[in-house]
Amino acid sequence: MSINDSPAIASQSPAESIQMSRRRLLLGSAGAMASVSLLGLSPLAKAAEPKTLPDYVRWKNANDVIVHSANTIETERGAIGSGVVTNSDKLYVRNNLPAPNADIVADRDAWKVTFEGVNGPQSLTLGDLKKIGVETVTTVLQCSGNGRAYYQHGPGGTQWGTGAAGCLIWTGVPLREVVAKLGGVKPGMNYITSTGGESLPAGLDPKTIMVERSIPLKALDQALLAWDMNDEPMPLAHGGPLRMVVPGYFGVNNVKYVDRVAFTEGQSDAKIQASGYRIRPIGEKGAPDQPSMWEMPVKSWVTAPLTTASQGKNLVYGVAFGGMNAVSKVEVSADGGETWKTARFLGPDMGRYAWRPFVVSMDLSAGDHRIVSRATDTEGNTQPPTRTENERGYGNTSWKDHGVTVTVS
Amino acid sequence: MSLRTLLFAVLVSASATVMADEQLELGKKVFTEQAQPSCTICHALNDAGSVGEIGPNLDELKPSAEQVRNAVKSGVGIMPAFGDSLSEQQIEAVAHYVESVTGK
Repeated sequence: MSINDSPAIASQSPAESIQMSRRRLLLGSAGAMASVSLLGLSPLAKAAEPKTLPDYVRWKNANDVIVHSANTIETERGAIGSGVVTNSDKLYVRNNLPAPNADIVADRDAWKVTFEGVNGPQSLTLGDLKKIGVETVTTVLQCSGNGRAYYQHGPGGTQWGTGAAGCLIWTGVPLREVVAKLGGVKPGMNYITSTGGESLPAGLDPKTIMVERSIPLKALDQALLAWDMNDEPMPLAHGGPLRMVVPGYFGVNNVKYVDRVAFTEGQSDAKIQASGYRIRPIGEKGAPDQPSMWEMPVKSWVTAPLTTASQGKNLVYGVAFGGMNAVSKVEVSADGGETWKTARFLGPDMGRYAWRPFVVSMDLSAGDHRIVSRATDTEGNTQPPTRTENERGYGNTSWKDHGVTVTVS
Repeated sequence: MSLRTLLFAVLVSASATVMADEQLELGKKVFTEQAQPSCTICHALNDAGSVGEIGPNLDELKPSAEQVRNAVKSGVGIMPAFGDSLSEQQIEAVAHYVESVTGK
């Protein structure tokens, strides 16, 4: 069941959306939007000092990212360019646990993965996996909470705007080829359950913090055990030496430092799967019978201009993707959704799981313009105008929320 | 102000200070000993001498007492809820403790 199955909820009036957007622009930081959140940071209290990059991501471009915390780093909205692929040095970081010690990437080919729930269960090293097969695929990586900042009920958690997303090129072995080598999946298995190899501190029940995610068996079609990102060995920060990449699925399912892949009858009982990352009404606790953050739906957002523009002809840029399907059309409006113009895609088509930069020429008169984009995928699914209200502020694809208010003079 | 009123005011503020100190002491105890699992496992907090890395560094986050109260009571994200295992008094104490020692 995807996000789009949920019933539409009445939205704020456009005036309220614009008001909130002005406030966000005044604050100037994509991630600083926080109304009444459990642990959201009040932007007014935190305005002063930008945090420095933690050691394990010291190589990133500090100008292109916002450091919310050591484990949550967001890409600046305006730093997403039109070149399709997101440079690693500006790619967002969202770790559920601190990154392991760098010694795990000292001898990458020695990394071991255990495979279970197959007819021939075995442990294979990364060196072994590299001999089984190889494929390169371009996908959108997006956090489930991307767009959380626009929810009004103050969901706790990082207040991502648009910057918990990027488009990356992954190289690795298709999981289906590994499985074929190991005798195929045992009968009766319904899920692919991947576990991250982070070491856990003593004194905590492992189930409460371990990163273990289950996805439907059909994802075997496209899942990849990836060792390279953007044509370089996978950085430690992004899951190196090995990451389970699931094209079309939300970020959390792309398990970093994967060291166990099990085909299982039921879903993992780790908290991050059982109650975490579940879509449910505001006020309800997460539970295993609620939809899990799996397949991503169609989405787009404008990346330029963001705040000001000159009167007359302007090029409006953005990115659009279909999630599981290719994106087929993007429309842009400079009047908050009253009239639309179809944009053209910019650059090569890198496959159904990649995003596509788009551009459209718009004549802007003096004054404020609410510029929004609306994407449609090849199955005819269109980005909705309003968000699906849910407790944790997941899966926001609302085109009204993701617009920008630009002052033209 | 009469001398009596002045003395009274001084006594009240002195006892308020003593109560505040006791609350801080309790708050620190909650943080380092009483909460289960211990706050120190997941959080770094200079005053408590903890270097946990699972959750945010509290000296960097500088949460308000209200934010701490909400998080401790109901949990947030990966952080469990302590509303059932800690008393109101303990939660209040640790909220004020964390706010005080992380400064604003």
